[in-house]
Amino acid sequence: MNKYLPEKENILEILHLVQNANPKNFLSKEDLAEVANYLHLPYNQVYSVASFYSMFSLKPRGKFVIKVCQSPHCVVNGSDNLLDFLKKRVKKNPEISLEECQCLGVCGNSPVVLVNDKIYGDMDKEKLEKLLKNLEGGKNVL
Amino acid sequence: MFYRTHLLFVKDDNSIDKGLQEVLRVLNEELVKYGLEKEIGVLQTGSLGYISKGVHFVVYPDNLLYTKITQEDIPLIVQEHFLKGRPVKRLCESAKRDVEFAYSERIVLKNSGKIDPESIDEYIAVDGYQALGKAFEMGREATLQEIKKSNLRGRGGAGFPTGIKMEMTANQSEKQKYIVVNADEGESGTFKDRLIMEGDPHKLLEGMVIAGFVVRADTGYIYIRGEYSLCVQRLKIAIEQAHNYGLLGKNILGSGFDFDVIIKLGAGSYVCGEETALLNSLEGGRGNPRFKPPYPGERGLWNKPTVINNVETLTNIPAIVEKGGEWFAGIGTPESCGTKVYTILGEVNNPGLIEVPMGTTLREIISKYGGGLKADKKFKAALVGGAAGMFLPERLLDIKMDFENLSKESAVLGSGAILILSEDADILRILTSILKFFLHESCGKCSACRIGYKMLVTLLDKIVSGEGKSEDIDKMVEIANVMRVTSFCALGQSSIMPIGSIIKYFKGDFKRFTGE
Repeated sequence: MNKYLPEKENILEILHLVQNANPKNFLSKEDLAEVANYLHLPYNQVYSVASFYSMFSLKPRGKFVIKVCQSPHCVVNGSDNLLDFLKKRVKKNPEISLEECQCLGVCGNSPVVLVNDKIYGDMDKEKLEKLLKNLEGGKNVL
Repeated sequence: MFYRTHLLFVKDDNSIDKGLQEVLRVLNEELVKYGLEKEIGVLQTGSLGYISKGVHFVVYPDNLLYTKITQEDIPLIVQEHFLKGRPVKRLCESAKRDVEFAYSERIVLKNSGKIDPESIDEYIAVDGYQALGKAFEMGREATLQEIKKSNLRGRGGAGFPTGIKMEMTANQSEKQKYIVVNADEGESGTFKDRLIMEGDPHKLLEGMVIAGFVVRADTGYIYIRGEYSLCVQRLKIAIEQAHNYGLLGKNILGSGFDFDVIIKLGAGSYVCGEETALLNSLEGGRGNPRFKPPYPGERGLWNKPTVINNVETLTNIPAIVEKGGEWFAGIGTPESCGTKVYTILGEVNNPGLIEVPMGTTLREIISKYGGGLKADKKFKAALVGGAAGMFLPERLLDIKMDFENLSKESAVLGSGAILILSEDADILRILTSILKFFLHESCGKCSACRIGYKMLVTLLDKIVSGEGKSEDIDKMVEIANVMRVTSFCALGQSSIMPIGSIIKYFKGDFKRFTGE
């Protein structure tokens, strides 16, 4: 955390850093308290910021976070169906979390799915199935 | 080293996804195998504007474009083309015309796809940072006059004259001032700022330093989406290089002017694209919009005078300073000068990024630059301006795309996103996705937007599931109108745009469900 000066303007960078360091890929109460302490801010202010931004999660997540783009262009190409498919498919695995996201700007390869920071384009159910198998085996590759 | 041939590979998220790294690895192996590694230079550049051509590269000086290349194609290309001098025609796409087209009439994207974005020397070799030197020579007032003369208007959507905005901040007596770049590009189907920054990051830095010089700011912030990792990486490299060359930091080019650039990552919030919400986020708070006035030009970041500009706006500045305001004002239409970068998507043959003069008609954009509709389907609608834009029907195809002509039809340029829909498109499915998006992104500060979107989504679901009546459609319009008048910021105010345009031009799509 001390990579950044203890100033309020650095809160987003610090929260990114702390979340990435958490093995469960989220911001726990202890994490928020620690950030509040470092920045000399009340806990509720840190909580209010962390809860505002969609890249921060206040609930534990799996090792892999799958984000499915739900912007118009991806929806036209069927990403809403992919999301429904994934909702049923990944329920049981605690290592894989599912989220919706908005335009990632890779519209040329839509529908787009993001796993952690890796982009997978032109997705369909077969490719997703293959990707999920790899994720279940601990590998973020297609 | 002297190479007889250069290969310029486009490195962006599209090509990385399609296996760029593997292709480069195989290419390198093949070149070494035939002892060509000292004759053929392989470079990585930013986007040419194509987004559906997979891994693609340009061969110089032959001026050929290879598209959709996989690692299996590489041995053949190396043997036939680079060893024997016979281009593999099957993999080239009527190349010459394409390459020329990609480089036509560009200001903002002039260098994108031509130079290595990670090399400041290449930027300087194409006259980069010359405008900055010229600005220092001309002085603050003369530089500002050139920008005012150019009639450049903000490319973030609202179209406010950039020169006047800068003048307002320049006239403030406060000592501490800031430049803020709005690179929080969240509008659906928009990725122009990302590709501009990925393709030519130094141009943005140069624009920022000039803007900082004009208004006497000493710090510039780039507020960028947290998801744009390649972009952030290239900007960081560019900033470091500029520091090493004395183009950022203390006493730039011996002018006595100090300026520094800081990158700030967003964390996933659409409303932070609204300038005052962005300021709150930069200060380390929730991204709720602020009340205007006072405008950021007077009281912005930490209540100090701040110039906030879109990436595209600032990247126009170096060319304006270099070639003069009059030159810029001569491009486009009298009230909307210069070029505009669009992202064209949907059912067209050549989706991608284009830069065309203001005032180019929608028809020309679709047919000439977009390559017409796929499989010669019939045009149904174009969603212009992103999610908060309007669906335009066929009879408006000849509309000139600029600020004043679009506003006559109460449409907007917005983020420059154009989504083309063919006859088989389901407009209400797209509307559902738009409204759900806004519902999710509403910051919750004002009730009109927070509750309004919830009601709109509920009503639309009801209609689409076949249980709606025509009163429900009227109700949606009524809610959207109330939101337009009472919402705090544009996020709530603009729900009427997509809904209103569907009611106006595509009411049949609604009636299909209400059975009338």
